[in-house]
Amino acid sequence: MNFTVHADARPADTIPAGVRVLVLTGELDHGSAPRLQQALDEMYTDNCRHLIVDVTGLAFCDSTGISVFLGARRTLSVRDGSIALAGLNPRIERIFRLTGLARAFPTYPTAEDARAAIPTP
Amino acid sequence: MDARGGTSSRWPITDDLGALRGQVRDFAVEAGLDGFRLQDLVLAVNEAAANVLDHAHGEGHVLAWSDDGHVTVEVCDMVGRLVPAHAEAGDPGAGKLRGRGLWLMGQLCDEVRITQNPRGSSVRLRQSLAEDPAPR
Repeated sequence: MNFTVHADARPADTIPAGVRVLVLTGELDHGSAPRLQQALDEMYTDNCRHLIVDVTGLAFCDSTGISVFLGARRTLSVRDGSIALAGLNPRIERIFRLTGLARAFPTYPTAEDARAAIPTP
Repeated sequence: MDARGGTSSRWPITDDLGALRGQVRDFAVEAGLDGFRLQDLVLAVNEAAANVLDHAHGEGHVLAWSDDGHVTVEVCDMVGRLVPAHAEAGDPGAGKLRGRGLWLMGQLCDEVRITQNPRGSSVRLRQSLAEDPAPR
């Protein structure tokens, strides 16, 4: 299954400034993780502080993908920002629980819930 | 059927880990594995093969066989940097970005054993076909 990463298609004025939503689908692995890293690097140059990753459509995630999530967590914490994961299916939830990462990332049922949890300036 | 009385397969390791995951999944399903234990084995093989891509010039192969109520998958490289003690890798924690593959394999499989020989190292991953003998 191909991996895709794209920004939330909703109109920009419905998403608060500094907040970005990335929607991932398919299989995130050794081969596809560099594409997620590239999307993140583009967001950092675009003044992103709060990142929501919608993983509802993510079918697979290996330790390479986990490394990218942890790197984003580190980068955003330096900016006094945040990263949240939304829509974890049972498979992804299990991987995050086994790796202990469920405690490192706030998780929400939907991207909308994650957005509501970001404090408004 | 082979000499061990079960079935066996062999695949090369390439950049396309998705294809390898499909091959391992099909083999393990045929052997009788399903559910989380199937997905866990597939992820563990993926981790071992990704290590071959990152640390062993991407040269290696994967052997799979089923016998005696187990599916066993061996991920072999041609460099031999892995030693048996690596199978005891600990949890790197969320503060460390990389290096959790071997530890994760131990979380996912009933048995992880590393052997070294003059041709390289191999990681043997073993999953019982019994109904969740050790719930995780």
